[in-house]
Amino acid sequence: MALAPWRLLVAAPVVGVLAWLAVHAVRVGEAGSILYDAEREMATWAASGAPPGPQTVAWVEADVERARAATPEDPEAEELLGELATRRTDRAGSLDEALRHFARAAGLRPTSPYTWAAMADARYRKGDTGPAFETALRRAAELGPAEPEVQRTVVDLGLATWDEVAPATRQAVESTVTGAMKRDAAETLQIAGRRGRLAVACRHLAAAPRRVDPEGLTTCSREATS
Amino acid sequence: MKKISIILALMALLFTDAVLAASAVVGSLTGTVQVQSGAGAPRVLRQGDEVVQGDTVLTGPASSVVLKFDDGQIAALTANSRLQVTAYAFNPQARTGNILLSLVVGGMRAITGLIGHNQPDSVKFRAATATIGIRGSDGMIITDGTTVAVTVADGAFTFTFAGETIVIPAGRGALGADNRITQGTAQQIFNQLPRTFQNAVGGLTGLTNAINQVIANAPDQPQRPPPPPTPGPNNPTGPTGGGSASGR
Repeated sequence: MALAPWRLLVAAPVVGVLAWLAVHAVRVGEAGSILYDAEREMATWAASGAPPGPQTVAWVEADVERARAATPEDPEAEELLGELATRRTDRAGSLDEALRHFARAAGLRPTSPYTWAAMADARYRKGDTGPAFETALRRAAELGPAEPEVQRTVVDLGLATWDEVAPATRQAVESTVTGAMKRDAAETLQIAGRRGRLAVACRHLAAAPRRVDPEGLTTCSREATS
Repeated sequence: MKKISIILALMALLFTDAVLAASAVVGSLTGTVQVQSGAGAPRVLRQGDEVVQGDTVLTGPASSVVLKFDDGQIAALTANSRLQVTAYAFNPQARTGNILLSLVVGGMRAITGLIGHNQPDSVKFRAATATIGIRGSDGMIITDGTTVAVTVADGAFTFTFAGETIVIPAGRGALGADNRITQGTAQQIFNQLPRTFQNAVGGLTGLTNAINQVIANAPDQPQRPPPPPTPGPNNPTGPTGGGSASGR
């Protein structure tokens, strides 16, 4: 029952390709699972507001590095590595490292507003609020006008640097403020109040379709009279 | 049994997180103020930015900053100051925690919050070689890295310098220099201070409105009445030797 030589010649490469595909699928699946777990773990840090210990960050980082080695073209891994690096303030140059990861993530997936928002955040933390920061902030605003997480970052950093940024950036931030006021006026007023920029948010109070609680109205009327 | 262990572990995690999730927010700022976090280079600090344990805040010439911690503790810095948040933890549920602020150089006005109210022994300030504890709520600390001056507007501070510890009540002050402590009324201490220290007192007194604004803007704190007249280069006859934002 021996195979004819020509059949063997055809079957061998096919079996080889199938085997390679199977191994690759397993690796991609494993990498995806690692990234999912890492993302969930990091979400718990954000939800609790508690900074994780350096050891915890190092463990998650090692896992994500492993996933990236398996799928080097996955922007998710680069983005997570960037976010982890921003937390390693104990390590010199950690923000530069984060920016390198975000730049690679943006290269692989240039339309993700989250990547651009994270990039703007890392630049802000680094104290670099120059043109590269403004570009990242504008891209985040343009690509994710209705994404709550992106809105929060753009409103927060945009109002923090309101007096320093170019008119085009200010306009992009103001558009995001409008969207954020429509989505959650109370939260946006809180961010604007913390940044000492209530006037910018209160300009969009009337546009908010949802009823603003009396506290928000009082906040803005107090701002108007001050 | 396994489920109980998981629940206990989660509860422990929640408790730990609650204690660790603590920071200060820049409530007011003038001039150029920077913050240095960990191994990073100093960066510009802006209104609304967060300052956490381990951070060092630096004020430039003609600059000031008012920090409001999660428990309501206020730390106002005058020009040319350097303050490290050596330790800060706060559990909002239990309203407890601990604070250790180290003033390397410059002037700071400190108004205590919930931690100071509930656990006075858990609030400490360091200035040069002096350690200051609190038994009240409002005072100024000024140092050039060697000499330390303290005045108390409300409550009392304990002042440890050169191996000696004294209690400074409201309206009085102390000067730690040349390995000894000099005590007196806040005004007497003010008169003995070098010019740079007097300028720092003036700068801190000038921050009273900003401090009151930061306290008033806090959603969980009632509006406080304006402070009484305070001493300083322009008004050296204040009744207590330091303005009280608390108005208690």
